[in-house]
Amino acid sequence: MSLKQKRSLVERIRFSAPESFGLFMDALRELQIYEDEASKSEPDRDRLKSNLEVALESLENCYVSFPSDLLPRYYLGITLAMQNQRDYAEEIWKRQADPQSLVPGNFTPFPRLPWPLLDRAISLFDELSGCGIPELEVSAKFNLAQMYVRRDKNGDLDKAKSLLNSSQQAQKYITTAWEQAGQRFLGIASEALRTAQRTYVEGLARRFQERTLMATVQGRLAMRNSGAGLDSYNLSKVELARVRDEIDGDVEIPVHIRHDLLADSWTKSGRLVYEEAFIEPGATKEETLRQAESDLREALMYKRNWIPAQTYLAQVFQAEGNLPAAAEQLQSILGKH
Amino acid sequence: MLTNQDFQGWELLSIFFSVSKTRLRMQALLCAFVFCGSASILAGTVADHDACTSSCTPATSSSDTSPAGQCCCSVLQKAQHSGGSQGHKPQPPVGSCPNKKKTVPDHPSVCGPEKRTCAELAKEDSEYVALGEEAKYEESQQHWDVAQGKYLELVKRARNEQERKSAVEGYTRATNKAKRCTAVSHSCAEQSEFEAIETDARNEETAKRWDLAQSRYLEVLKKARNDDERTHARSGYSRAAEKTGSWWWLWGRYFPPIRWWYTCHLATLVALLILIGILVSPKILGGTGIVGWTGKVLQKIVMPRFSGRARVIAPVGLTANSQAQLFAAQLPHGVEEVRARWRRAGLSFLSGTTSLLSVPSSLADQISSEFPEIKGVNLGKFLAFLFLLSRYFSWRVESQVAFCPGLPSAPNGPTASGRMRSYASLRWGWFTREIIRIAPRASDQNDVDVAAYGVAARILGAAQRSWR
Repeated sequence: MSLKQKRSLVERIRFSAPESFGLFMDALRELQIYEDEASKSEPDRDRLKSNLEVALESLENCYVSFPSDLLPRYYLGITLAMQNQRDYAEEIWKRQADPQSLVPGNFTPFPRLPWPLLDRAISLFDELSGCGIPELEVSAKFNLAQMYVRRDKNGDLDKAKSLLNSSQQAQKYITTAWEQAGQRFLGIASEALRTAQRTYVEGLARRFQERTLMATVQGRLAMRNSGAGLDSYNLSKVELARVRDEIDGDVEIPVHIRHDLLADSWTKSGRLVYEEAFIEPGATKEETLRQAESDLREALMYKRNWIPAQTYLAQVFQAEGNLPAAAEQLQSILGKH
Repeated sequence: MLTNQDFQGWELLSIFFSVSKTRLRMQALLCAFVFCGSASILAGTVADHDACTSSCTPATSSSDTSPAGQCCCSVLQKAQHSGGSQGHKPQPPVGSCPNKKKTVPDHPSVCGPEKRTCAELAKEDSEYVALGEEAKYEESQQHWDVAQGKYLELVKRARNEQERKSAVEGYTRATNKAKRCTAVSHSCAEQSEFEAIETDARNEETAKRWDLAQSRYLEVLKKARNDDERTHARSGYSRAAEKTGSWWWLWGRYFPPIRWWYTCHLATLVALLILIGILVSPKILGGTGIVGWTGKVLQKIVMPRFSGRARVIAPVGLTANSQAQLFAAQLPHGVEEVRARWRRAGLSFLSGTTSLLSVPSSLADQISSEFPEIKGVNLGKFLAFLFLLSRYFSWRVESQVAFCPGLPSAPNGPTASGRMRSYASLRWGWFTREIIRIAPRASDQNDVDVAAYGVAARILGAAQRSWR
């Protein structure tokens, strides 16, 4: 990237006003406090709710007041997804209080409701996927694909698939002779070099995540497509397992990112298996649910109290009729009443 | 003192003694004595008379009359004239004075056999030269009366025709000049004062400061010494009085632009157009118009870019229970917290509790590299003027904080949480770069960390924006 391009990129990513940055940082603080609180085994429900609401309010203000700023828009999309995740958990929690809904005949694996927050997040990430800043575009496209998969309405999975197909391989950063000389002379890598190395690792990790998501999408499409057959579905599961193995064996990726990736992979695998239990009802359903439970527990081993895994695990427990276990998971997500 | 004639007589006598016998010598001595004495007296009188008459004017006073006839020689010479019959001895000529041979000029006008030494002659000469210099000096200083006196003295002391002529010329010049002052029966000092006031009056009139011109002309009128001057001063006074009596001059006392218009149309018109331009400019240019633009341009030129550090001035507590000092101490920590949270967002791969990607680290690094340093300084303790001045011309954060407790929603009901209202401005000199206003929820007056964090975040935001 030339210096001119780099400067142009920096110009575009900057906040247009101190107030914009201030609102963004207020929201980021609340989100991080929310994350810290949510990672506790018994989080405070009011605090969780308040943190997320304040974060959403700040980002909304920022988005309305400074619509040209890209990072607040990006984080608004993320926060909307988090709020939707919480709303989803609230829906699951409502089932706990309504035993009729858990009766096998009435039980639906996923609450079929309109998710307006997801719709809004999709539109925000869609805008950002053409913002002109390559790094942000790539991340926005991936998040958009995630949102499509999560919403899973008419043709959303196909849209996600086409987005994931267009992604590119991470390019390894090649150091110049000057940089190598500088590194030798100073003994440490320059800031630019460290950033480039981090970017490369992020690219690698994102590629693994994309492959994981793609395998999930293909598996779900295979389950719903009666003509695709079981092989296609199994191939997806095999692909998921293969990607996991690759992640596990990749020493270039730092441990904390590797754990994130493995947790996500196991969660997606558990969610896929959970759906499978309802596609092929019969004697294998319980076995499949146990498999899903196992996968999701595996995910929680890599990331304790991780809300996506806990949410699906609560659903699995509800499907299994283990309401106390489901309540435990939901209380960990929503906080203690 | 020996004169030329004396010297010649004694010389003849010595020659006689060297060539004659005793008797003859005695006879010859007597004859020579008589002859020399008579010849000497006769020669001296005739020579003196010839010299005087050739250069003297007939209009000399009666006291100057000598037995030999009318003469204008000096008093000393006149005395010599009068004493000439009492026995003049032949004296060596002045030119033969061993000490003054070169420096003392020949004085053909010396009357009679005057017995003066070379030193006396030199003194006389020096005095004459000094007097001449003094006269010239007084003339150059335009002290005509003094110069007149000096030249008169020079005329009196003149030793030859050339000197007399020169002195008379100087005397005439000084007299002519002195006449101009004395013609109106005033001294030179008075004349100068009069001219100064008159010039001042004319200048004030030209500058159209009619009130001042009027008073000056009045002064001239008071000091006028003849009819011409009086007429001139009166006409000037009338002109000025006419202007100062006009309506616009009287009203102009309360509203000067009226006077400006009548005294200088063009300048007033230009000023009026500029004023109208300034007043109308906000409508055309928007904002505060030309004044605002000028201020912005000045700000661009003078104010440096906020890229480095800012110092936190001791905040002001707006309410009695505000913890202003606590807020000031918390502010730098707030800055560090902002940095840390930004770093965390950049380093995280997944965003929070979701499987969504966090902000790419390359973008996060771009922003965080531009965060400035904020230091907390309790300026209230530093009273030195220079220190304050240096702080004034550096980036600083001025802040106010107030805790507003919540009110119960209903009587005896639960109290809502309060607000920590914080105001901060990022300033350099008299310019204000940013104004920050936040009001986060706070449980009590000590709960300042959220407010400090919010202010710090906005200051850092100002820094990253200043690089654009």
